[in-house]
Amino acid sequence: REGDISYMMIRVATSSSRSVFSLSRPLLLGNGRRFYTTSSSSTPPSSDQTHFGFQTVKTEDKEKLVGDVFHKVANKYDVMNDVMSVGIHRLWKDSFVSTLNPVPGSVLLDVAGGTGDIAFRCYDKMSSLSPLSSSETERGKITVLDINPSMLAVGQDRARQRNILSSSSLGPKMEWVEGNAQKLPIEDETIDAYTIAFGIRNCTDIPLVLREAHRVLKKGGRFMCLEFSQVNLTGLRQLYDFYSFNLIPVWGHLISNDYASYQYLVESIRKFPDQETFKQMITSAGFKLSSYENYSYGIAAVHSG
Amino acid sequence: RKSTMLRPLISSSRTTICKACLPLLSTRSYSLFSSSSSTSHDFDNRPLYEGHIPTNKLQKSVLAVGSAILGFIDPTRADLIATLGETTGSCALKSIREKMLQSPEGRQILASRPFINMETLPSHLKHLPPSTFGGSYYQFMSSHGYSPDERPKVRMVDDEDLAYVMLRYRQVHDFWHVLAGMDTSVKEEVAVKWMEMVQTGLPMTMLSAVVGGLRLSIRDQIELYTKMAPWAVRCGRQSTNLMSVLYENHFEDDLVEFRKKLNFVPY
Repeated sequence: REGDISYMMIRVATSSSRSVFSLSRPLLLGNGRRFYTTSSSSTPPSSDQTHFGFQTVKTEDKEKLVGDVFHKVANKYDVMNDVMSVGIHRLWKDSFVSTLNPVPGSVLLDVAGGTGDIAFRCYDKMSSLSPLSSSETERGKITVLDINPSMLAVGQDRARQRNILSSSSLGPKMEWVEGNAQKLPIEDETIDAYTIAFGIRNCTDIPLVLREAHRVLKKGGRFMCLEFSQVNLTGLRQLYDFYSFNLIPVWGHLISNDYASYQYLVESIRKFPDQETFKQMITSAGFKLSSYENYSYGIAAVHSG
Repeated sequence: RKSTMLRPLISSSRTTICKACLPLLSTRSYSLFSSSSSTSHDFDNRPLYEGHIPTNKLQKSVLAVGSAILGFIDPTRADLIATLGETTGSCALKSIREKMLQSPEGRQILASRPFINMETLPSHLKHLPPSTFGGSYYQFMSSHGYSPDERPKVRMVDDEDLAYVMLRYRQVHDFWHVLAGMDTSVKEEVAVKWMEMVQTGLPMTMLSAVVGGLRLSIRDQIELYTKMAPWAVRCGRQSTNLMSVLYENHFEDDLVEFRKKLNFVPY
């Protein structure tokens, strides 16, 4: 039956008001057990199936499932990030952008950029360095791409509040595009730097995303990925697992009335490949000089190629 | 009749940890936080009913405190009030169930689990005269624009039976308004909560009664504490067990007669 496992389950008997609650048990992974960390994190059970958190779902369904999650979390996304990471995500992103060091005139692509945290930081950095008299091309361009329109809408709102969308602004041009990281609506070799922060683990086909990144980057262009990773420091790992599984969904429930989406979030972190494996994947996609740096002992990591 | 919507699997935080994998976390200290309602080791984390989110004791305490604070700040978050009730109500729900099991009507309710929503209410309800229980109920609901479908689902109760009891409590709340002849101003809601406190013993009712009372003007508070609350306590004590009543069978009853049957004295 494992092949038929779908995460759509728990049907309420439709006949009468008697059976209010169904006794059907959700079908889970075959062995019925779950572990905080999984060793076989990146191998799906069969070719047309993949993981959605700890669940196994059909590959073609994953995109929609992830889409549903992000539609729901979009409007409280930023608040929740602050609550879950106690504000530390801001430090990670600051460090990430500072490592990237975007200069005026660059053409940046921020994939899964959603609410714009990375894009706005790049914008600020680039505008602070831009001379006042520069033309549009000299100022550069930032494209924020996301598959989820709800997340993009939040980002665009923030841009409006910062007055970036008006043509009189001095920084790089920002554009907000709805698109799929697996099939970028961008021409080959046009991007100076490709960033993806906390988005790649939600993609269905990570090697394909990496190959697409390789395609759109100019020769000498840089790929940078900020993502949750595996913590190897014993003691911290247990604490982190405990916090993730017990408290993060609770914050999700209290703040956005959505326990399940945050449950998905913490599970998807565990399923993502570890630092070394991901580095190999980046190299396989054609990147040279791939490397990584841990943030907070591996809670997050920056991979670069 | 709910369609199978795509919905993320509700999974538990309490996972079965392989001892070999986590040597530093002894099973004894971990079990302090394990879910208490599991009967079988292998099926600890399964949702027991639609919408069930299994939670352990630590999570329940965080949820209780968090929902109390956030619910106080933003009382429009009905889901938080619901969460608070569910995380604090386990003992009271058990005692309500025990009381229900002692009466034949209560046992019938627990066995058949009737559900009160727009589809299960009789369609002729609106034609009943206001002197009947059903007619009065219809007037009450339609004058405020309420629907019985609005009550939040039960999610944090770790037992199917008790989850039903909680749901039933939420659903019959409107019937109790009708019996008491109380409208839905804050003062009157608090008075009904006092009555529910005596009848059900749910800590949530006590919290609402106290906190709700704080929001009233001085004059209202005086009226509440000198007249309405004493009435509520008396009424709650004298009436039969209101959770064990199959209200669905009494829509056509005359309201006054029905109250007498229940020994319920309206305000």
